[in-house]
Amino acid sequence: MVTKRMAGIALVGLGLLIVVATIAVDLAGVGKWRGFGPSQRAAVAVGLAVLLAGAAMIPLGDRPA
Amino acid sequence: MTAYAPHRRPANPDLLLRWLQRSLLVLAIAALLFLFLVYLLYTAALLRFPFDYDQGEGFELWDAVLFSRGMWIYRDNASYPFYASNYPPLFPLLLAPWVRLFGPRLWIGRLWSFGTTLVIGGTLFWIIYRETRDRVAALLPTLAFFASNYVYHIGPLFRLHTTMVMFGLLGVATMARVEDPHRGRRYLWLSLLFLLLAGYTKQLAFDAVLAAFLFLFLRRPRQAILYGIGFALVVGAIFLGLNVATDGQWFLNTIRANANPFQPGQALGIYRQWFGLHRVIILLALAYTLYTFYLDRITVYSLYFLIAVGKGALSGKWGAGPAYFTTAIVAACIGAGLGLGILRRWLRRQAEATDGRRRSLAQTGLVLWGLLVPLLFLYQARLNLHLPLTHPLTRPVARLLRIPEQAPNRFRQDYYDTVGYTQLGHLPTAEDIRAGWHIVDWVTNTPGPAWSEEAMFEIWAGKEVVTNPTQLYNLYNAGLLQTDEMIAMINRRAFGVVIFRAQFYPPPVLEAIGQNYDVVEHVPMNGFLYAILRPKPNP
Repeated sequence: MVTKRMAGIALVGLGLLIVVATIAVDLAGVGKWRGFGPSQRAAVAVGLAVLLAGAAMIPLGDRPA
Repeated sequence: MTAYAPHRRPANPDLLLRWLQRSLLVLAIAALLFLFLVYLLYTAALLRFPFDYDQGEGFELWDAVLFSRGMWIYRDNASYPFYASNYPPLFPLLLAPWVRLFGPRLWIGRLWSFGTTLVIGGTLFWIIYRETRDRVAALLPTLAFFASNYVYHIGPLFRLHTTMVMFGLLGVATMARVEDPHRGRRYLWLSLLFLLLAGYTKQLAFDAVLAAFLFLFLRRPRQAILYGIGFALVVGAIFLGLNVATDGQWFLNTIRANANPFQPGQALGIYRQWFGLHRVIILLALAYTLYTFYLDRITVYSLYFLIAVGKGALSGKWGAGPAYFTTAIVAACIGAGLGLGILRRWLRRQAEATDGRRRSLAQTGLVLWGLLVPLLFLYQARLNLHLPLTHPLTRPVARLLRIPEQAPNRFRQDYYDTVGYTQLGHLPTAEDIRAGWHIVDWVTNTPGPAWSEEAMFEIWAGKEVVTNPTQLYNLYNAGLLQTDEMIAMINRRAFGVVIFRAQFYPPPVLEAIGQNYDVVEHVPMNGFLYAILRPKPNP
């Protein structure tokens, strides 16, 4: 059974992945445009929201997700 | 003798409140039912309209015609008739028998799609009522689904989108029952079948698949992994089978041709519009989702809502649009209904508590629920308002609401929509139908095949459909289309007539047509201007 803590950790991981991947897009030079565009800002905001949502679940412990 | 002063009976505040609650509820239901009536009028008008209302309809009908003739719809676009489909096969396969029975008519698919929206609405009501036993909490979001501008626009079209949403929703709804002690396994298999059908109706069904398997993983991780592998193997086997049977055309036309450029501004614009039009059900669904994440157990519906909202980002692809949010609207309606039903059930339990203060607060909460919920859905109906301005049944409402008869940002002046500019939603007129037959006359009375940007003119003229324009355009932009043969035919002036609407063809093809054909007439139809071109006289 998956617990709230496990689900929270998974969401934190997913949020981090979204944020890092969005920033890495520029570092790797992928895409047509240079600079941090509006869609990247939106993606980072989504990533941070997922990360925070996951972090808030971790203290719920072993309750079933 | 005693004289009594005349007096009025004091009003019972409970009775007054109940009357007010009932009145607001009746008003909210009436407003949403009015929008459902508009949906019925629109459907009836489209069932009578024999031409493409949306540019893709005739091509989806042609796919069903090809299947009914035992032919593949995934073909080489470089060879005459330069036609292939970019969608999975289930929708045209389901309609092929009906097309064989009644002939190639658009009403078949339009009636089918309308039916799928009724199934979606019925399933929505069933899901919410089953979980909450609250008729009001089930009815208002169900009617809000039909009131949505996006659902209204595409609901009765010969397009496969609502069929995909229906199968996806049924897959999710049956997966929700997987823990049923007696029939859990049967529900699981049924869910997998629906999800498979959804995926082979349209590629976008991945949101329902992902939500269902994530939910299964949360509840039964081992079963999710085992069944997930099995499901992937079945999907993969069908995929490979189709690809082998069509000599690779399946992969080229449904996967590679759909990898269109992404326009972030378009996606953000549609997100904003979607939120603006559906903010009541979205915020209620969000509250329900947070409740399931932090106070109760995560449900398949909260996952479905989150994933469907995320999928909306794909609306930024070239050729995509607001219809990509239909699943998110369905999921928001479910979340809103479940949230409201759960809240009222909790308030009712608290109202029976022994603690006097808690009981009093709960009773106040119940009164507020009865007042605010109808008001919220009345507001939701206002956000979604759309209606024809000249129809005798809707004109009085338009006047009552003081909707201006003329506005600069309308596609057609006889139709109002809170979306603003939209090419869908208005009722086609008898004049539009006459104009369509006039174009069919061009196709019928010119020798040889026709080159038409819409399929219905060729289908009515009894000729083969030549080209699927956006498919050619997408393949060309991806460097996957050889245009030699079609340009050679254009240079030979092999096509008796060319019909353009939006000119979504590869630039070299347009250039060749410009060199070999002259515009002889412009025909206005359904808000668009169709250009009729004939071969230039030989020098």
